[in-house]
Amino acid sequence: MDITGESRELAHVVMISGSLDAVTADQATSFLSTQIREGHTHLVVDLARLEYVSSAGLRVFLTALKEARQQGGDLRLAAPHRNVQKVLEMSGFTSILKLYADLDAALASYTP
Amino acid sequence: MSKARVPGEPGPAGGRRGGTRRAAGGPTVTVTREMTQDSHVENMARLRDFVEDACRQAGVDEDTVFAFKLAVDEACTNIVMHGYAGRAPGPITVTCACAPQQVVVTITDFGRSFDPAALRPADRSSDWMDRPIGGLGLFLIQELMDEVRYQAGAPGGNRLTLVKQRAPGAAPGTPRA
Repeated sequence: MDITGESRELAHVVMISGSLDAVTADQATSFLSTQIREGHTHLVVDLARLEYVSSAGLRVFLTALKEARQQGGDLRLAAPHRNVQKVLEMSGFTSILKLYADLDAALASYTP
Repeated sequence: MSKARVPGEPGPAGGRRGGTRRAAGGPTVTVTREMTQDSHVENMARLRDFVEDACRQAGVDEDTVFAFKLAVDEACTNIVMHGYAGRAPGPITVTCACAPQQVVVTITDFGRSFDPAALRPADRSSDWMDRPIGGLGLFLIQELMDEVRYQAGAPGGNRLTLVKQRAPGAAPGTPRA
């Protein structure tokens, strides 16, 4: 897994590439947590290069979602692969977080 | 007309390795492959990739391939995090039997067993503040599989059996050039 953060005009984009699983979850959680503590509370997680997510990865999203919202921000997901979207839907995550087909749509959703 | 026999339970020797049987004049009926890894979380990717690869090579449809990949990852991760927690690492054996109609995967370990009846159902409906973090792994396994059986402390280890029918139309044994 590879994780990077980049500030855009409307939100902070975190791109996660590779596999988000029991091995990589802690690193992703701590990366996202650091970004939020540094003030990047309006997040888009770009999933375009995320090939695989397990329940350990879902924990990452939920932990960061709670942290961001408690700081008055949000965490929104963009461009999930089919299998990643399937896991999000099966787990009931689509009812608590916002999911967008591509990065531009996710960024635009933060337009004041 | 040969009927596929699925070795849902590995034989006394713990399952055949790489066995391929052909019915007389018919297509391949069952391909069984097996992998054992120590219970380190770093090995989970090897086990799930192994199952993905075994299913793909047997011509299993992609939705079923993914279902087994994720279910095996969730099950083996639980074994590492709970079964072998606080103990010396031990083996986890994954046996994958691909038959024309269904795939059967068994996962064997020698860690602490669990009581499936004591598990609480996953919470998929409370709002974000009250949504518990974690507890989804076993729920996903149930959701992804047609049948899940668990035998705690069986001779030869705890045994989890995962069964899923292959999608119709994704014929097995498709000849490859």
